[in-house]
Amino acid sequence: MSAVGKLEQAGHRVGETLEDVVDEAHAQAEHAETSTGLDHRKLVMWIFIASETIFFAALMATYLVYRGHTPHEEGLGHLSVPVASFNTFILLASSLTMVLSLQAIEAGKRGRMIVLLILTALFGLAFLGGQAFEYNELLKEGISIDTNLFGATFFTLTGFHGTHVAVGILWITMLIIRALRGGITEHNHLAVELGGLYWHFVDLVWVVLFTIIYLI
Amino acid sequence: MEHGHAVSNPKTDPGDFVAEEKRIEKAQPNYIAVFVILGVLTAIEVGITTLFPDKTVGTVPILLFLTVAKGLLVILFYMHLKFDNRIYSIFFGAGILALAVPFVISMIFLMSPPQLISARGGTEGGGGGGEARPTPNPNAGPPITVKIGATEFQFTPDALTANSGQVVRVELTNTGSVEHNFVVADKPASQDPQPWVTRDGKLIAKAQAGTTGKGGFTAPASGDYVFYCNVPGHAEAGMHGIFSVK
Ligand SMILES: [Cu+2]
Repeated sequence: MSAVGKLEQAGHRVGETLEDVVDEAHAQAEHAETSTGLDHRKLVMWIFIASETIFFAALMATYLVYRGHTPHEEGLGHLSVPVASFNTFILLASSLTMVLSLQAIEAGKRGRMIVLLILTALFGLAFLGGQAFEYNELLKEGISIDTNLFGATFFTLTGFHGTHVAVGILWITMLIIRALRGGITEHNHLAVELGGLYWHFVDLVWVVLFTIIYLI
Repeated sequence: MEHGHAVSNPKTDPGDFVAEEKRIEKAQPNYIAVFVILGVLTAIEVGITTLFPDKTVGTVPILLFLTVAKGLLVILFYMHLKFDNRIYSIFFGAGILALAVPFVISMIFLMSPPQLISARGGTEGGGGGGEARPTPNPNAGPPITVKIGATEFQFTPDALTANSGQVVRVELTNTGSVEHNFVVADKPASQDPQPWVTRDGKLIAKAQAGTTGKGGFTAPASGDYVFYCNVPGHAEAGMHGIFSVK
């Protein structure tokens, strides 16, 4: 069996399990009123995002506290604002395509949603490419995670964010596979909404990182 | 495409859940307009940083304000918090509150005069974080860029000068066939004429064969310092020079 075939099969399996969970929860949501009148899965997602916010806040605080300790020329001076700005636009564009994909499926346009999800994942990959370029430039200039406090805090902070982008790309890929199998419909698209919440959160973290690392 | 109303807010009783749910389905904000605004705000941020490269405190509050504005746009429109039930906002708000506390503390550090930081760094004496900075020299002059060639086994030129406190940017061009680097000793040459033996010094730049490596540092207190290549054997073979600080 080809690698693609295997991947597809694995995708189906993941999709099925996800679908079961979502279908079941969906049935519950429809037949049993929750005490708050809210969707519990979405509430859980927001609590998760709040905990992630605290995680990144702690990393950012660490970065800011130590940033004055490394002379500018040995740390911040090596960063390229144009590369980071380019990445910012990429990630903002990915948030746009993500939210438009949700809008598309809400209007029952499944094909449009799939195209927009693919675009979102591609933007995510472009962002990671930009980050890889940036890391490579820094390493060439002799700055790595163990060079100085700047290197340690910079690579930790942006590395964790980059990991979140990678997880988001996997998440969106799963959504695409599910959508191709017809598991996402006009009336059953909470999965896209939840994936979107995560993706926008990762974008939001970058908006803040861009300012505190590259601008101020 | 339908044109939504990004700003108009339906006058619904906020306590009415059914109406809330309806509002979510009806809300079709103009996401492209939101994206354009986000892009413009980012361009303004980059513009401010480009126009005022020395991070005067005056620009920091403006940049933070723009960032908060961008964050709110993402949360309210892309994450639908503006249209969604407010209980989600309450849960998220708790997270944001937790974000605000360390952020404010960090800002206090950030805004504190640089002397405080270098004073702290100075007393700690070396170590991971306390990289001592030379005392600011009003005559240090603007940053200089020095281009240094490295090959087996010599630097060209092998004598460099700078003012104490001056920012020195190094471009190390390796025309040889193996890796070379540029290390400046921490101790003056009078105390340590052969720092490659004691492994004293800071790695400023390195370059693989045929490439250029960049780096920089601030010139230390006046005196002569040895610079060298710390690849084993290279300094002994002649890859060293004198960096004079006035
Ligand atoms: Cu060498």
